[in-house]
Amino acid sequence: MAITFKSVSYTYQPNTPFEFHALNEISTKIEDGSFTALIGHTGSGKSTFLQHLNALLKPTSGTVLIEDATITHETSNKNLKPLRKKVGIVFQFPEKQLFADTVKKDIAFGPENFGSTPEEAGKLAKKMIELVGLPVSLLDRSPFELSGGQMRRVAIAGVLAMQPNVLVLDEPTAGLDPSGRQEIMHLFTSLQQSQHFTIVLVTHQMEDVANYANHVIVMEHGKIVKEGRPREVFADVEWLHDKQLDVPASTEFAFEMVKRGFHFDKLPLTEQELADDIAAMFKRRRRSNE
Amino acid sequence: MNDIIKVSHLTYKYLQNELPALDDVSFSIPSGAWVAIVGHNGSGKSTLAHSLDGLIDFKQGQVFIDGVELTEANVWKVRSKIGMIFQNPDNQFVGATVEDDVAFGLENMAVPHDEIQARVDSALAQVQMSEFRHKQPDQLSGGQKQRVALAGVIAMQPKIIILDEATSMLDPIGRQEILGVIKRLRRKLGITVLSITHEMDETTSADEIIVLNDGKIIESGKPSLIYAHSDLLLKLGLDVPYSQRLKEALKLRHIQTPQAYSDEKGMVDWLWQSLLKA
Repeated sequence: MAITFKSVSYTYQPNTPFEFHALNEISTKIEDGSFTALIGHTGSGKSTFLQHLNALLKPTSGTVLIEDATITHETSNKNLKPLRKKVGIVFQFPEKQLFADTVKKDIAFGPENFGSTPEEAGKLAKKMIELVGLPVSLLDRSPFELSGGQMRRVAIAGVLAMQPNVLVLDEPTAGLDPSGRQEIMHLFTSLQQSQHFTIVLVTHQMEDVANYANHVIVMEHGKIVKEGRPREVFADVEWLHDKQLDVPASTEFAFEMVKRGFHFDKLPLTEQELADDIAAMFKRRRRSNE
Repeated sequence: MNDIIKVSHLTYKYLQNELPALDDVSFSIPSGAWVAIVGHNGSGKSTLAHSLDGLIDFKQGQVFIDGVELTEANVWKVRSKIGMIFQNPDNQFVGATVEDDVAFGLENMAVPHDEIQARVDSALAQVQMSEFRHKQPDQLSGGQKQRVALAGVIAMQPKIIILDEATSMLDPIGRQEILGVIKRLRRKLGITVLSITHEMDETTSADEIIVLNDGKIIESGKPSLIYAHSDLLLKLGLDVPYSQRLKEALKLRHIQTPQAYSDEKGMVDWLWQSLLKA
């Protein structure tokens, strides 16, 4: 499912002393089936952008096209419910939103609100808990007895239970340890393959951008300041440094090598690419020594 | 060298039938040092931090803080020597404004008003938040809130600061801010720092790293020594510094790499030596 932004601006508290322009003339397209990474500093407008993806916010000016629905300033809230089902948002620290006394009720809450019978919703809960890699036996437990990582998976299962087409993830691995981070990212990529999701990921982890995304949007002061494939966006290391944004560790390392006189045809994005490039350099050196 | 923290044979179980969260842990930390405790979620790191501050009533083992054994009777006295910063910036902001928040602890200790003023001013200056003194918490970023929490701790003039995953909910800039402040505080005030983390980047400035797994210390030593054992760290579900990860990837490609740990700059030097030097 594609989502298109056409000159979208958003102003918080317009015509008051607290007026704040969070988005300025944003135009971009999230392609169907793509994995888009959204990067930028705290306060750059990422969260405001996210909330336009399922019309939680409506543009102050401009239009957002969510599949074939047009959202403008004038769109009434009445017909937005089906849209919100199609675009699921996993907010930051989603485990904070758990509330029910059992895992099953928590996951089933969304579908029941959208008209599923308790039986259907219960079945869905069982399916979703398996999908996020937790044992079915947890369904009757209180979510608050689980570990932090398990709670986060339950919260994600609750969003998946709405069976969305687009999954929006706001820093889904923040606060997790390295193995927890890896598990959650694997979960999303395998879900994307098996369920054909479109994914929008907000992250500060540039390794994840390099490893998983095929489209990167860089935001600053409510504007898109760069957009493209990860290789294009990360090619200009100095520009990103200038914006105080990180690049993947491998790109950073290669950039340091370039400063010392090494040459790369294109800067590597991942450890594997960099190691391959360096291995090729050793091979060439050996050959020229012989 | 006087040890400001000494832990001997500390064992703690949350539930009687479960495996211990801490299993016969012993170590000591010299005054003024920065020690990082690393381990994955559930390894016992936080339990250990809470035991030092008397937040957990352990039955087996001893904890000495600044030469005094921690007991039920002196827990408040010992606690006044330790300042703790927790993970979530929103959960430890109690004041209506930044300066109220920093003054909170001092007010509870019935410190005279003038002195509170002076200590709050100085603490806010130390964490570079003076210009934010009248702001409310919702006007601050996560990193700024953690700096306010740090100011609240500094105002109490502790000898030890314990950071319990204090940066894990912050963005990269917030994290750098906090680490920068900690480094400066150590230099200026000679405070002992114990940081509990699973971010390996945060351990590079430490004097010593203690690796915890299943409640046991399985290794401790200088960062370079710990990083060199990257296979162990990876097995424990921890990260290793980037230079070490690259080294492993090169080994898989049959390239002989230096044995000892080197940081990224050291690795680039080595590559230059082996590949570009005439």
